[in-house]
Amino acid sequence: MSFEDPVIITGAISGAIANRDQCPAIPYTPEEYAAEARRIVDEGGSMIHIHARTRDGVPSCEVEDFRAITQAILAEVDDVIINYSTGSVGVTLLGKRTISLDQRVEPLRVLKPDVATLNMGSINFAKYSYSRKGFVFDVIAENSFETITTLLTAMNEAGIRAEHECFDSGHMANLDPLLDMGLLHEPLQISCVMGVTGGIRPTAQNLAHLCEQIPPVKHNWGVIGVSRKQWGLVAASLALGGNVRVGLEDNLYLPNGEIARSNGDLIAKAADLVRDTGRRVATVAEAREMLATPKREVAGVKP
Amino acid sequence: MEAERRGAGMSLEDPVIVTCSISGAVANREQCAAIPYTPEEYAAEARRIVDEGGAMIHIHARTPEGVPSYEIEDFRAITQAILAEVDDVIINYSTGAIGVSLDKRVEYLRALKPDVAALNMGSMNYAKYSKSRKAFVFGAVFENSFETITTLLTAMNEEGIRPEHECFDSGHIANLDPLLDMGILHEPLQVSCVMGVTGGIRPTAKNLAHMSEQIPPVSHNWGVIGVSRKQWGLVAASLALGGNVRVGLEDNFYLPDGEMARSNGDLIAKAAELVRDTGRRVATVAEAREMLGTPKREVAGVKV
Repeated sequence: MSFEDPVIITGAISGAIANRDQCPAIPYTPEEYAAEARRIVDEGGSMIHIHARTRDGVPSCEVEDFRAITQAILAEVDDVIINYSTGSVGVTLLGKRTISLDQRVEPLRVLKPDVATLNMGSINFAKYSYSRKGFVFDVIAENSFETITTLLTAMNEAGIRAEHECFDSGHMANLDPLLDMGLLHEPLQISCVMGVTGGIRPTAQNLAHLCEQIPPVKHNWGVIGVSRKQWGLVAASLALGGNVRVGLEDNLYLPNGEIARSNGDLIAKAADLVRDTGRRVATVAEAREMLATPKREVAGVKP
Repeated sequence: MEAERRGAGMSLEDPVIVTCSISGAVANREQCAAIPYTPEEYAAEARRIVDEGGAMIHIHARTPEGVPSYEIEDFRAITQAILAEVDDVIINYSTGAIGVSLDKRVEYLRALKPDVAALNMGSMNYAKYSKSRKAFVFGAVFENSFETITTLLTAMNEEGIRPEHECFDSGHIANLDPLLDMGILHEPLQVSCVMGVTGGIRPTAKNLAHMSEQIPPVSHNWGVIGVSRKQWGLVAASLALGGNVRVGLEDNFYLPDGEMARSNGDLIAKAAELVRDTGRRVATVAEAREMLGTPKREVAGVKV
């Protein structure tokens, strides 16, 4: 990507870890997801990254929950790129149950989102409290090469584009064997996830380092900053020529410290930053073109 | 003055600690005839390592038949044989394993109290990919949760064992931050950048510079552990950047010219030559003990 490219803004609409006690704007029901999607698209978001929840807000990997949410969103907005999470940490942590690989693959096969995230390696996934001097949670996000190739094969078969979520330098290197095996199709879509305890430290220098680790094939890349450090990382990504993701999953706060009243507030602020760094927000059509995800039937909703 | 010199980490003026990974747990004698199995063979290799300039020996135990072992008795026999053969050397035990219980790994540390023990600083995929077969030869998840890390670290602290923080990726170095905040790390830290495992950071000189810049700003020693034949370029990079080095049959069997090493001594001799050729100096065992904060003491029941 270059500085001349328009910027794809993704909205991480809900996440799976935070809840409404922490932020009342987090959507639980399909209707709430749809209302948030409307605000995201109106403010310049072209892709929505979805973790499903039950109507009570419990993280879910059920096809029915993904379907209801996706259909509600697509009934509300004209067009937006639908991106499903395939990570399991939220469900494991808060759903208090383990989830099989089959369960992670199932919504992909049945609903065929435009894009699905693919975690590119195993890491410790933790939260540390400096005030309590202890870990708030500490799990291992397991994504072996077997898991990765299973998910990737399912995506390839269903015509879903993979968004490679890389939490560390080695996760980028993990693309190398997959490229060699012929399992990846250009342009690659790569996200540098920064701010999780267990992954690379969230600094602008490290973002520059990570984007230099991307293999020399055609690709789009961007940053996913977790926690309030997000805004500095958004600025760094824009300056380096990358895309950005914001949303209630990653960070509840605006740069001035106020809590967002909706995903729309966060997307609007990201769009401000895009313009203020001399770049331009990509339309949904432009984003589809860049990511090679032509409009098609998703979750049974005809184009 | 000593504290001041160490304050900013290492410099090009520091002597270089050459560590030897004497045996490993993955390769076997069919692949390289020099890999030691019996305590006597470990001792003979240790002699060659120390004679050529090695100051620390990183040990994976094996049974006398060569099978990787996590039994106290095997660690004890190997350590006693080594310490009977050489005057002094820093004894460093591996604690990494896939599929071996944490209790088992804590047990031999507590029983034998090595000077140093390796501590893997995060979870990752640990795999080997074959470009010719276009497939993974093996692939596992190397699990080192913060709970595992703090359990091992606590045992090390209680037994006066210095941890060597093995970091396979940028985030593994960041994982030192919460441990520092909890007050369970003691300076000087000992940080090793492990490069060349599929699943970890790519093994390049630039990435080694990046890794060494990620080390928290506390007093520390650092070095590189290069896996595979790419090791030699990484050894050169580490020496140029002011770091220490590890070589040995665990990490790579081959000398830079492509010949297979006849013993760990060949690899240590070549590393020592590189140290001198980059204008640096090989640390004696006594100097390495001083730098790492590991005074000579009883290990595996061998009195000082």
